[in-house]
Amino acid sequence: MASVDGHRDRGHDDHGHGDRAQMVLIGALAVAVSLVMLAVVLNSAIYTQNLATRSGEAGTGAAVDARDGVRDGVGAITDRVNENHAGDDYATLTGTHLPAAMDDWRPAAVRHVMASGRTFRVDLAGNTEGTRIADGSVGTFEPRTSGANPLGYGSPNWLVATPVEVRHFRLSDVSASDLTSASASFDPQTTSDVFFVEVRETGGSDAWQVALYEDGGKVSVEVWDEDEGSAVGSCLADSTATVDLTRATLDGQRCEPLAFLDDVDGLAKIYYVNSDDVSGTYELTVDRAGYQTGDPLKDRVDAANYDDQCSGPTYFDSPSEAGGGSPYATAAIYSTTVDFRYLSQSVTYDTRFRVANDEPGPIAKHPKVIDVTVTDNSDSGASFTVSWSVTDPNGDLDTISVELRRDDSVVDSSTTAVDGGSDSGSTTLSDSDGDGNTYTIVVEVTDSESNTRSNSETHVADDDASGCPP
Amino acid sequence: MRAQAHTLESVVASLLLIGSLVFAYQVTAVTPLTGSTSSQHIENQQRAAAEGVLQIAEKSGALRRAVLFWDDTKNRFYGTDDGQYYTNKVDPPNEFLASLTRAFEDRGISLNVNVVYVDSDGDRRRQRMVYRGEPSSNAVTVTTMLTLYDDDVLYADSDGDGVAEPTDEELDTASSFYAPDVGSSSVYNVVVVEVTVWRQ
Repeated sequence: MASVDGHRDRGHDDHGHGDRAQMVLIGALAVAVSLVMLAVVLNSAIYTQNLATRSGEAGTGAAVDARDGVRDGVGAITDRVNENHAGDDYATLTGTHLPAAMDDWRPAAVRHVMASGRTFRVDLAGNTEGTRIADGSVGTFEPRTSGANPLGYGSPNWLVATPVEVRHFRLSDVSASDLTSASASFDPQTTSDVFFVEVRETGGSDAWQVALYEDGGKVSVEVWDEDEGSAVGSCLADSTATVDLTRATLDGQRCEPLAFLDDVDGLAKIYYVNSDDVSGTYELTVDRAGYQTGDPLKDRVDAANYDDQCSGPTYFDSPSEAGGGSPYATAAIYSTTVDFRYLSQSVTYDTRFRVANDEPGPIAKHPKVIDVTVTDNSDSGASFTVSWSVTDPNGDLDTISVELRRDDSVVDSSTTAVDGGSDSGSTTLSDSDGDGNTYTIVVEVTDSESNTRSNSETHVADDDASGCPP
Repeated sequence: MRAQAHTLESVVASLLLIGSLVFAYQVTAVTPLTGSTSSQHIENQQRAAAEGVLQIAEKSGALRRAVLFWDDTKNRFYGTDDGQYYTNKVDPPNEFLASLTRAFEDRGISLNVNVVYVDSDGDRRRQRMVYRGEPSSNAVTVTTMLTLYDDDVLYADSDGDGVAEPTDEELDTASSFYAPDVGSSSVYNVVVVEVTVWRQ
C-alpha cells in the first residue's frame, strides 16, 4: 500500500489523491456490503412472517363442504319426492322419481363445482322404506274414523304413529285464531281444549307435550315434560306459524324447548290430543312401512285407536282417496344412502353416507317388523301359524319372540334366532282349550344392541279369517 | 495504461456501489408492517369472517330468503334504488344483507354478492345482488351452494320490518325470476352464492 504520511515533494498530487481515493473507495465498499447484508436479513424476516401467516389447510375443507352440500341437496330432494308423489308405491319412488330428480340436480351442481377446478360424483346406493303421514288440507287434526280414544283424556285424541323413529315432523299454517287462548305456563293434561302433541318414549317412561295455544293474537308453543312435571319452555310466533318439531324451529327461528326429540330414549309414540282445537296442516315421516291396510303400522295404530287392528281405519291410503279429508299415510323414502366421490387437484375423497333430512337424535337403528301374517288353524284348541318378516338398518338382528296371550297372560311363546339385515320365518303357537277365545299375538324383534320393536294383533280362535277381529 | 486501469476500477466500483444500493432499497419497499391491502393476515381474517357469516345465513334460512327476495312484477330485488341489484348502503331490506352490513360495511370493508345459476343450456350465469365496485387485487371470495325447488315461494317484506315473509307465488309460476327452471322434476335450479370482500 502506498505510504500515507506523504512525500509531497515526491510524485504528483495524483498519488496523494489516489491514496485518499482508495481509502474512500474501500470505505464505500464496506458501507455497500453492510447495506446488502441488511437487505438479506430484512428479506429473511419478511419471508418468515409471510410463511407464518399462510393458512395450512390442504383443501380438505372444500371436500367436506361439498359433501355437506350434497347431503343437504339429496335430503331435500328425497322429501320433495315423498311429498310430490305421495300415493305412489315405494318401488316407483325409489326406481323412477328419485333418480329423475337426482338427474336434474346433479349436472347443475357439478357444473358449479367444476368452475373451481373440482368435480364430484353422486350415486344412489340404497334406501330404507318408511311412511309419510300427512294432512294436506287446512283443517282440524282428526283421524279418518271418529271414536278414537287411546289416552283417556283430552278428547278427541288419537295415536298418530307407534312405535317409530320420526323425522321431518312439521305442523304448518297453524293460525292463532283457531287456537284456544291460554297463558304460559300450564299443564296441558289438565286443560280440556288446548291442542297438544304428546310424544311418549318406549325406552323409558318420559313423555313430552307440545301445546299450541293463542296468546295475544299470536301462536304460542309450550313444551311440558311429564317426568319433571313442569314446562321446559315456551316460544311465541306470529298470527300464523309453522312449528317444526324435528328441527326445533318456530317460523324459522330456533325454539330450544322443541329440541326434546333429541332426548327420546328408544322409539316414539306420537298422539294428538284435543285435536279439534287446532287448524292447519301437518306431515311426518316415520321409519316403518305400513301404508296399506293389513300392514304393521296401520294395524298397530288402528288397534290402539279403535281396539282392533281391523277397525278404524285411522288413515286414508293416498291423497286422492282422502280428497278433502285427512290424514293419509303413503309410502315414503325414510333414508337414502349415496356414494360420493370428490376430486380436486390435491384431494380425492371417497365415501358413502346416509341422508335422512331433519332426523333428530341418533340415526335410526331399531329393527322393524315389516310383515306379520297370522293363519288361524284352530280346530279343537286354538292354533295359529304366524309368519313374520323383519329387517334392521344396521344388519344386526338377534332374536325374535312370538307370544300368544290371552287376557294379558302368556299361554304360549317361541323364540327364534335371526341374523343379518333381514330375515323371515314362521312359528306355530297353540293353546289347548282355547277354541273361540280372543288372543293377542305379539311379535317382538331384538337386535344385538338390545334395541327392540314389537307388533301385536288380535285374533279369535274360530278357524275363520273373516270378521273383526279375524 | 495505469490511468485506464484506475478509471476502470472506479467505474466498476461505482457500479457495484449503485447496484447494491438499488438492491437494498427495493427490498425494503414491502414489509408486513405497511398499511397496504396486500397483507396475508387481513386476507385470512376476511375469509374466515365471510365464511362464518355465509354459513350462519345458510343454516338459519336467511340466505334462501334473500335469494328469493325477488319482485316478480318489477323484475328486480325488492328495495333496490335503480336496476336489479343493491348499490347503496341503505337500510338493509332483509336479514342476510343486514348481517353482511354489520360484519363488513360498518368496518370499512366493501363487498359484492353474486348469485350464480345454471341456465337452460348448462352455462353458468351471474345475477348481481350487491355491487359496490371492482374488487381490489387482494379480495377474497367465499361461496356456498343452494338448491331451489319448484315449490319454493318468493319472499317479500310487506310490513317493512326487515324480515322477509313468504308470498303465495311459487317459483315455477314466477314469470321473471332470474334463474330458469332446469329440471322437469321438483328441482328448479342449483345456485351458488358468492360473497367477495375487500378492504377499501
